[in-house]
Formats: sequence, C-alpha cells, structure tokens
Amino acid sequence: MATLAAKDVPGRRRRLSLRVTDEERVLIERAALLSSAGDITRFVMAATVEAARDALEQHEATRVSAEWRRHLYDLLLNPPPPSGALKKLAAAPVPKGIELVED
Amino acid sequence: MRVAIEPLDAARHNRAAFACGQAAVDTYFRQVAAQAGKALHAQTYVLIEVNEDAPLKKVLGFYTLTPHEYRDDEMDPVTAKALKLKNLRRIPAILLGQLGVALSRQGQGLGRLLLDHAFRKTVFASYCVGGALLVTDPIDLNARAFYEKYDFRRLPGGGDRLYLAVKTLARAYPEVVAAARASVAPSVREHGSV
Repeated sequence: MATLAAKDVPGRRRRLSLRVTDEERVLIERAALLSSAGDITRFVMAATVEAARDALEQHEATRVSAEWRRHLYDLLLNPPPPSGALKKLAAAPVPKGIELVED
Repeated sequence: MRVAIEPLDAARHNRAAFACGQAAVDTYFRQVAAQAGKALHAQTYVLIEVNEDAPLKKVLGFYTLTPHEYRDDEMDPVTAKALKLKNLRRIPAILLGQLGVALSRQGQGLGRLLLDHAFRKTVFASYCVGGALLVTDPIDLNARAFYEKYDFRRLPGGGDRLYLAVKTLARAYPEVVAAARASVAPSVREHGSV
C-alpha cells in the first residue's frame, strides 16, 4: 500500500493501483467517456475524492455529536451550582431607580 | 420609573416602534411574536413603562420562550438509566428564542431584569410540565458574554448554542420551585376541593 510521506512535493501525481473485474472496468470506461470527466482517471478521481471527503465529514460529524452528547448529559447529571452572578441576579433583579409593578 | 412585565398583547403594546438595534430581533418582535403567541407556539413577555394615559404602551424590552426538545435515539443504556429516561429518549427543554432591550434604554439593567423574569418563568414551567434545559442562540459576542455571565455555557460540539441546566436555576430560585409545587389550577381552588 502506498503511503504519502511528508517530504513529498505537494501536488506531485502518484500512482494508485487497484484491481477491478472486467465487467467493472467496462462499466467505468463507458461511464467515464459519457461523463464530463472524459477519461477514466479524472472520472474515478472525481468520484473517489468526493466519497472520501463525505466519509471523513460523516465521521467527524458523528464524533462531534458524540462529544456534544457526552457534555450535554454531564450538564444534566451534574448541574453546577448557581454562580455568584446568578444568585445576585435572583436576589436583586430590579435595577436602581426602577420600580417593578407586580401583576 | 415604574415598569411592569406583561404577556405581549398586540392591542395594548406598541410593537411597530420597538427597535433594539438588531434587525432580526426587531423583525421577530414586530411581525412574528404576536402571531406565535396567538397560536401558542411561543410566549412573549414585554417590559413596559407604567403610565395610565397612553392606550398603546411603549415597549422597553421583551423576551420570548418556546418549548424545545432533544431527541436521542442513540443514547447508550447506561446514560439513559442515569437520566431515568428508560425508553423515553427525549430531553425536554425551553428555548429563550429572543431577548431585546430598546436602544434608548440599553445599559440600565433592563436586560438583566428580563433575563431574571425568563429564569423565573422557566423554573415555574419546568416544575409544572417538565423541562431540563434552558437554551439560547446568542446573536453576537456581546449577547454571548451577557448570557455566560449568568451561567449559560457552550458545549463542545454544540456550536454557538448556550445551555443552562434548569436544576442550576432551581437552586437560585427555590421560591419559584415552591410556588410551582404549591400552585393549583384556578377552577380547582374556586371549588375548594384541594
């Protein structure tokens, strides 16, 4: 399996080889020629890179969502005590010079 | 200055003249709040100056609460058990959808006064019908700093939304918890059966 080393020149084209069946090859060739890509390499790369990005995005979204859920549950299970600012607000919400008429 | 906080009443409160400096908030108050209230999709409270003569009251500020819910079909059984949710994998919440103070009245503590009122309504409602979280989406960094001062916090992976556990609020407002626990529907009180 080819690996990309950090010292490689950015943008340098490298070979990615993979085995396909005859049927798959014919299918891909036909689709590539009909598509706007025009040749097999461009057609396969366009589809593959997009699928790879989607897969990584999906993984990231799942990871973030799991992290968010963990923190949400922690907040619910271990609610922090009110801060000094919140306690002060609750004790004296009405600013100076204002009279709140209760209904 | 004598003020009062009342549920929004389109016939008595001057919506058109309200401006807090945030176009989205102003538009919501002028064009959406009353309809949302009428449909019981949300409830808006307005801060008004108490003066007997004016038929259409000037609005100094307002806020809106609306029910919200987090669904979680992927909740792990251990957490679900700890939350005592069992098969009911949903978390009831209240959304502080909007809060604005009129431009001419900013910096006088009226935002605090409205937030305190919203906290009291949240605790009362949560102890009557359920509600574990108060959440809000601050419109800018100033708004975020304001909410974070009063115990709202962001959660990693939760974007810009701010969260506050109702149990934290309940500890700051024990008298509201007691009032909700003691309250009965008016008709029941009139008939004297409780």
